[in-house]
Formats: sequence, structure tokens, C-alpha cells
Amino acid sequence: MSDEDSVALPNDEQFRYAMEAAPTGMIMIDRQGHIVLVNGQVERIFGYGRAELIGQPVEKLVPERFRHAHAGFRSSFFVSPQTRLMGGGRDLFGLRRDGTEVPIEIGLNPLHMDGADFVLSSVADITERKRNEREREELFVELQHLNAELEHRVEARTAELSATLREREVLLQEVHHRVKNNLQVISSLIAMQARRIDDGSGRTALEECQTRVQAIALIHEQLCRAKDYARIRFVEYAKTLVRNVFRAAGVSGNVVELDLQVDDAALTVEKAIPCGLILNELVTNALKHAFPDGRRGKLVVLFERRSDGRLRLMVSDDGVGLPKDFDARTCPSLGVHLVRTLAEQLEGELSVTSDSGTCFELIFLERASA
Amino acid sequence: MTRAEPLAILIVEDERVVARDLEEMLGDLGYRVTGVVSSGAEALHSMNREPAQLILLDIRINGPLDGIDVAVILRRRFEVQVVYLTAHTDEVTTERAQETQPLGYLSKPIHIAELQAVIGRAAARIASQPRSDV
Repeated sequence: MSDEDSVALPNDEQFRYAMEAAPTGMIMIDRQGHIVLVNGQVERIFGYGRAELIGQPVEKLVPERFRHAHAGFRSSFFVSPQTRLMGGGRDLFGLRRDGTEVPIEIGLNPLHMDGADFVLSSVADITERKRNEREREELFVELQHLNAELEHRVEARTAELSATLREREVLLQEVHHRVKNNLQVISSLIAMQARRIDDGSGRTALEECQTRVQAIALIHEQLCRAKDYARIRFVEYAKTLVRNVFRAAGVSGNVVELDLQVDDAALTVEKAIPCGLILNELVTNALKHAFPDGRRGKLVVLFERRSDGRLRLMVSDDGVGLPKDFDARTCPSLGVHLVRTLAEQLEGELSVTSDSGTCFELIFLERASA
Repeated sequence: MTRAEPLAILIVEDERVVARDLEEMLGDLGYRVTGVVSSGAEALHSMNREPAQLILLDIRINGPLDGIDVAVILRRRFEVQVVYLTAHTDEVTTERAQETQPLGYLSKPIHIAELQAVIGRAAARIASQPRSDV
């Protein structure tokens, strides 16, 4: 440093003490950019001894690639000096004695002391912060990758499960379709045999057998239609079944009025098939025996879930009623025998009353008892 | 052909037992069955040999064409109406079937009362439609 350039160093002890006590590096330069004062933190950050820095241009601490621009910035700072951060948001680097660079943050403070202008810069080593930022960024990127990978795996698994579910549905649909087709073949075989029987009672027996097969086939049709292969909405089933039985018996709704009161309850296939067969028998029997000689009347079909959770199926008519000596346990009719047998299968309680007309009532649990 | 003549029906159904049962039921109901076939090609052959006014057509049949494809082809070539024999069908199939303007659907297992009702309605519709060749 030449004599003309030299400036009086601030010699206020309190000022020096304050600089030394600062938690960041403090560098004071004069208008020409010479270092006039540094504190111990600067020595630690840059690796220079204090004596190696005093009087040196501050660009000594600036990496080579920034030096030229730095001199210009420094000069312009003195034109309109104000307290601010240096770098305007850019990353700043200092040059250490060993040639390595250190990320720093610099605050610039103009000072006017003893008639001269200075800049007092606070220098913070932000190596730790930068490392933390970098680690956070790396972690964030890693998390993004992990997240993307997880999303991909979830998507793939979902697609896999959907495909399995679709395959299962197609398979079930095919199974029910084939069962139904086979039941149609059985139904046709019985019908063709029935047509070839001259004996009226034999023919009727086969036709009744055919309606039983059709009652089972209807379960499979309802399962396929609803695409729920585990449960069946009994209301839909009962409506169709009873309508079919009326048609098969050749009975018009004008002669026997039908009152169908069916709750919208769903039954498992295991319950729906015996329950459907019982309904088929009871309606068939009622239409066959309760209204002889064109007698008009009413048939009530009721299916409800009771408040105790049990299911109640009731078929009642206001027809001629049962013979006085009727006993469901000893009645030789196959229809009644089937009703009793299927009621046992459902673990239900079957009761028959014949006051004015006939009433069959079955109460059963939806789930089998353990 | 006069109106008094029974409706001529072709059955396209690959379950032969079911097809024969249908043939017997239709015979009992007074209809005339022109043929019982199990594929689209056989149906075309049968229609060329003896045209029917109504085809009772299963949607799932033998051969590369399903019942709906066969209905499209036959309805382009012949003045013929269709009643489908269905088990259940999915929505796409139902929409495709609907485009061929069928006169009805019969669900399997087919009961004679149901058959009588559906074919009776179809026959009435056919009888009420003006024929293009008269």
C-alpha cells in the first residue's frame, strides 16, 4: 500500500473489541478496496493470518473468476453506499488461503470515520447451511423418486388387481351362463319327455319338475344380471318367479289377484335356492288347489326381514283351504314334502294354518346356525 | 303367402336339445319352423332355401359370428325380424342387440307361456307391417 493510499486505521478500542466479538467474520476495507481491519472469524474462514490480509486488496479473498467484476461492484458501492446484502441473491464464494472456495454470505455496511469512507462487511461462512440445503434437496429428490416409484407400484398393483377382478367376474359370469344353459337343456329334456306322455298325471308331474329346474335357473340368471355373484335381491327374483308360475299354471291375474309384498333383502345363493324352490312349490300348490273351477281369489306372497333379524316367507290364499285331516308331516304330496325338506335345510320353522284359505309361513335365519 | 298361414320361424340355437324343444313348443303353438340351425352360415343357407319371417336367435352360437352379427347380415339380405334368446348379457352386447331392432327377448330357461307371449307379440307386429313385396 502506498502512502497516498494509506488511511488511518480506526483505533477506537471499543470498535475493535466489538468487531472481534462479532459472531461472523468482519472485514473493513477502505475506498480503494484495501483491507484495513479483520477479526478472528475472518482468519478462521479464510485461513489467513491477520497480518497477511491487512493492507491487501480485498479481491485477494475473491475467487479468480469473480475478481474483475468484484472491483467494479466495489467502486459502484461507494457511489451510492447503503447497508445491504451483497450479491443480490446470487451464491457468493470466498477464496481460502489453500485455494479452496468457501460459500459465504456478505452484508455490506458503509462507514464514515475520521473523514474517510469505509465498507464494513460481515462475512458468514454458510458451508453448513449450503450442505444442509444440498442434503435437503437430495433428500427431496430421493423422496420424489421414492414417491414416484410407490405411485407406480400402487398403479401397477391396482391394475393387476383390477385385471384379476375382471377375470374373476368373467369366469363367474361364464360359470353361471353355463350352469343356466345346462339347466335349460335339462328343462328342455323334461319338457320333451312330458310332451310324449299321454298319461295326464305323469305329464303334470314332469311339468312341475320342469318349473323346479327353472326356479333354480332363475337364481343364476338373477346373479348374472346383477353381476353380484354372492347375493341375490329376492324381490326381483320373487316377482319373476311368481309371474312365471302364474303363466305356467295358466292362471290370469284377473282370476287370482296377486299381492306381492317383498322386502328388498338380499340372500346368499345357499339360502336363495331353497327359499326360491319353497316359494315355487307354495305358489304352484295354491294355484293348483286353492281356486278350483275358476274360483276367484287372492294370493298374498310376503317376504320380510323381521325386527329380530330373522326372515319370514309367507304364502297365503283365500281359497278353499286344506282338507281337515291335512298334516304337512304326513302329506304324500311331493310339493309339500319338498317344502318341509327345504325348510329343514334352511333350519327354519314351518307352520301351516287353514282357517279361511291356507297360509304357509316359514321363518328362518339368514345365516346358518353354528 | 296369405295372412292365414302360420308365421314361419327359423331357430338358430347351438344347444340342439334346447332347439328341438323350441321347435316342438312352436309347433304346439301353431307356428311353422323352417329350420333348426346352430351357426350363422347355416342360418344363411336355411334362409336362402326357405325364407322365414322371424328368426329365433341365440346370441351365443357356434362359428365366428355371434347371434347379433348374424341378425345384422340376415336383416340386410332378407325381410326378417328377430327375437333373441338370451341368458343374461352385458351392456355392450345389449346395446349391440338393440341396434338390430329385435321384436323381443326370451330369457332361458324358456317356458312355453313366455314363448307364446313373446312370439305372439312379434307375430302381431309382423302381421301389422306392410310387406315390401306386395
